[in-house]
Amino acid sequence: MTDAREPQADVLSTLACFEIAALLGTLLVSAWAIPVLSPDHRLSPVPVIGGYLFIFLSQRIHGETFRDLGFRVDNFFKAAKLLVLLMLAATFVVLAIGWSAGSLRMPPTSGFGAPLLLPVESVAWALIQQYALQGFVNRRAELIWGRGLVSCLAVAIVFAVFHLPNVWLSVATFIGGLVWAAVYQRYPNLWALAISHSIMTFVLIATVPERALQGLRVGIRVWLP
Amino acid sequence: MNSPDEVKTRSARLTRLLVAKFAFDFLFLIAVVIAYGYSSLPPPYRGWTDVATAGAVSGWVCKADSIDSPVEVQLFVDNKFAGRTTTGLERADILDKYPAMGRTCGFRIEMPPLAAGEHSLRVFAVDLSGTRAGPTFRQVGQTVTWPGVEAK
Repeated sequence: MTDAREPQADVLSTLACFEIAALLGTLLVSAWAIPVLSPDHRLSPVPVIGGYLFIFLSQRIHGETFRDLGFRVDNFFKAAKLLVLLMLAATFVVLAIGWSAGSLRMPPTSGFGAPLLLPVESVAWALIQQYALQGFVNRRAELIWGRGLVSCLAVAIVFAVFHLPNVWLSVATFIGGLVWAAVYQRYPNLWALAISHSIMTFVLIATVPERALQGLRVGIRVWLP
Repeated sequence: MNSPDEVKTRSARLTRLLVAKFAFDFLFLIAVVIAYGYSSLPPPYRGWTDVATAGAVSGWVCKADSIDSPVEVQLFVDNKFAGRTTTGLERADILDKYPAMGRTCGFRIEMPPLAAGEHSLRVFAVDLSGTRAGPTFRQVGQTVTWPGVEAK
């Protein structure tokens, strides 16, 4: 029985590796190549939409329901309780950094980053990211390495790599990715993670020096005018 | 636990999905690269710098894809900017010889006073279209070596 299970697990975990690589490749192309080849941003949404379509179809093939992915409310407060303590600790650290750098401020109400401060837009954007990160990358990582530190690290690395070469953002997303992946594996709830993500984005924008954040740009856009 | 048949089916579908995705990404990237290359190429200009007198440089130039559109031309003397104008002069001689050219493709740029000795004169057509930041310069004809006026 055990011998019959192993090849199946191997096949699915190998395919899961390719799935994660496929998504990461799409995201890197959209961050590094498309802004150069299509400076007017007209083509930027195409690889992103293709990536999310790929995620959706993969989830259908794997037989994952919305509830499996974390669109549920029964474990919302359990996930939130776990997140609150961690968020308070992270906020304290980031506030200390902002205080010592003299960069504590009210974030701008217009310009780049301003929409991220509006609650609905902020949570919606965070949900879109968490849906891909936890609902896809984390679940595929679990297929490869099972639940635990290794799969959480894989999620964090994928999230951080996408935010390169913005160093501050990569560090923040690595830590955030690790925490959110661990909470998701314990209590899979995308709503709680999305709210946590949007709150921490606000904290980051309000504390870390603007020069370090580089307008929250990622990929080649960090260096483009 | 999934049966071997279910896993086999799932694996096959996932493999097809991955292949389709890679194919889409590859074709999309190729299409974008081609579109970028095509839009980045400066439009071909046709023209010549054919007369240089003591006071001016004359010639003709037009854009191959819009022959009646005025073209800005700039004169560089010894690689330094010396003047600019826009085409608009009638050149019936050019039209006779090259019927596909525009009627008003001629230009005449006044030359600044030059010191004694030889000077190189180059005329450029200036193109502001395309995706590059900044104008594209396309030399019109060949570099003209102006013998200059001997100092008296």
